[in-house]
Amino acid sequence: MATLTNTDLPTTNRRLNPFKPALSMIGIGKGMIYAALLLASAFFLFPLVWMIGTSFKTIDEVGQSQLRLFPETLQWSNYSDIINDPAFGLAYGNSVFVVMIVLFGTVLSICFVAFAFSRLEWRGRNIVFAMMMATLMLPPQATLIPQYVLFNWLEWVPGFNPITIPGFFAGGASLVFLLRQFMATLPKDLDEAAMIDGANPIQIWWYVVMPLSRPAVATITVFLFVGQWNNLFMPLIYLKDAALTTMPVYVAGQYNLNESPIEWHYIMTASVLFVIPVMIVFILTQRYFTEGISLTGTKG
Amino acid sequence: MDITKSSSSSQVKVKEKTFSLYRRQQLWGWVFLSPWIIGLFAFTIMPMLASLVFSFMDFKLTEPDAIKFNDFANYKKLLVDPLLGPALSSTLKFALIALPLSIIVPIGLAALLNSKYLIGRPIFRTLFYMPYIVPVVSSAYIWGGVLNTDTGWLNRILFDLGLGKPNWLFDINLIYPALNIIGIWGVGNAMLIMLASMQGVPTELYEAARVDGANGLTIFRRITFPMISPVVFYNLIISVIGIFRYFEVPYILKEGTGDPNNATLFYNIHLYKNAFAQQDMGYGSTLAWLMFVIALAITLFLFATARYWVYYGSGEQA
Repeated sequence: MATLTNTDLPTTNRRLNPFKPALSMIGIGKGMIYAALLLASAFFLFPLVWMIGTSFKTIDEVGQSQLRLFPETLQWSNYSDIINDPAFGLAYGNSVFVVMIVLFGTVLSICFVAFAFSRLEWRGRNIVFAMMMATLMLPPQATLIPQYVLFNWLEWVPGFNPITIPGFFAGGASLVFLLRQFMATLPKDLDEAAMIDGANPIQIWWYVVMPLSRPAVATITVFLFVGQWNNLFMPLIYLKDAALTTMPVYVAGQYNLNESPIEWHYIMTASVLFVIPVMIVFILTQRYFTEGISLTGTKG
Repeated sequence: MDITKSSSSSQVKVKEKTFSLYRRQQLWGWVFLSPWIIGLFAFTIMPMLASLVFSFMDFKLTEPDAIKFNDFANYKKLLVDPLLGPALSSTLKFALIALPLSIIVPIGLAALLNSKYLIGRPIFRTLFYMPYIVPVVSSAYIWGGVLNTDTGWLNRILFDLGLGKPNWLFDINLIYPALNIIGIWGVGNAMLIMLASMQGVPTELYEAARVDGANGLTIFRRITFPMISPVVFYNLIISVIGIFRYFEVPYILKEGTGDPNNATLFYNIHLYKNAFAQQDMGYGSTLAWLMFVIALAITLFLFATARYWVYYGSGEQA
């Protein structure tokens, strides 16, 4: 009897819905949706394909009138030319170095602060939390100049310190918010059990909450990595020494679009090499992006 | 799941009983918060106040002996700065296109991706998101190439269709559409946020509406949009701030010159040139505060309008 009702249920449900549109209507609607999606895909994908194609061309092929995305012979020499440029290697190394330090400091401090906002009860928590969220609405330029004056006075300019040190103070309210949302979902009994066993909050943080928060910590790490790797403005201001240049400044400074001839093939080769790390990270960690956003996305 | 729920409701009682535990948590709360508190004072509050003070001073890093209060000279300069008008108007013109697009395009894409029984949703989602990951420096160059007047692919196609060769990045009427095309390319994150919030809308609401005979447009206007309106509101605020921060793309495409005819001299580029190219920290701070006041006014205005169109369901407050 039970199996009979189970198989029966879906069909009755379908028959119950009198407003189900005719099949042909759905077909047209679906067709339009797919057409729009394909058009949008072309818009989002084409520039990336063009970048890769151009990076394999000679300068003459870039200007050719016929429309060809990829040349007949791939110019791998573009890549060796760029990689052998000492300034490129230096900028790449600097970028890796800066990003590593910023990631370490920022992730560590955000884990601390998110714990205070989600696992500990203290007076004023909601007010302080609202204050933190309000800083999101502050345009960063408002604080930029005095920060520059401060770092200049400390004789940190030019240097990496103005970029790496602030990271240790939980920069990025949106990421604190994300991690706090995640930590708040973990059962409180774990903390209480640990506390009864005599653990102090630092031990609870490290041995109880942090191991369970790994997916969210991975998410903020990935977001931070992308943000830092791509950051142009801060390095432009603070890393004015050629020996300190990072990748965004190197690429932005190397090529001037208002002088001809424009070396599109080299610009795109450098771009491909610049994009590769973030693309690899993105493809490997895609689910953290979607999960991270669904954590923040449901709240205003 | 059940265990978690029952314990969190009994946790209130536990807290009342163990008062000393609660007191200890007070202290630990501030210990764990300390990195952010220090950062807030050192890198936000103090600098905000300092920049207010600087805005009343002659303050050039190149002339450390000539730092002094200057009797509102920076504020008087605002009135006569020949480039401030262009900076404000180009930012406004850009915003008038960019702000609506920054809401409509991600909602549209998310709505497409949220269609029922869609095949290949993860693939489309990944494709639309990917350009957001591309460093803005690279995307500026890529689009500089695609929109190039003679060799760019867009113009070659338009030319073959008999539509001529528009001068995307040099024509004063086309520069804002061109910059907005580049902006739309990086819309992936906003789209994903909208999509996540659309997927959070309870399906019973849709079913009820369909039983009542509502069509797709009505359902979107009466159910989807109100339900995602807090996220739309958040995105709108972030977009306003983003427009005042707009810097990288015009900086790379135009070397910060403001060509054509100051149309790309956006507010942040003007500020950067004064504060960091000319090292005039006094006037730069004045510009920063003017921007802060304008941004705050817009934000407060948006908050005032929020109660007419942003819907916070019962018990959904953050």
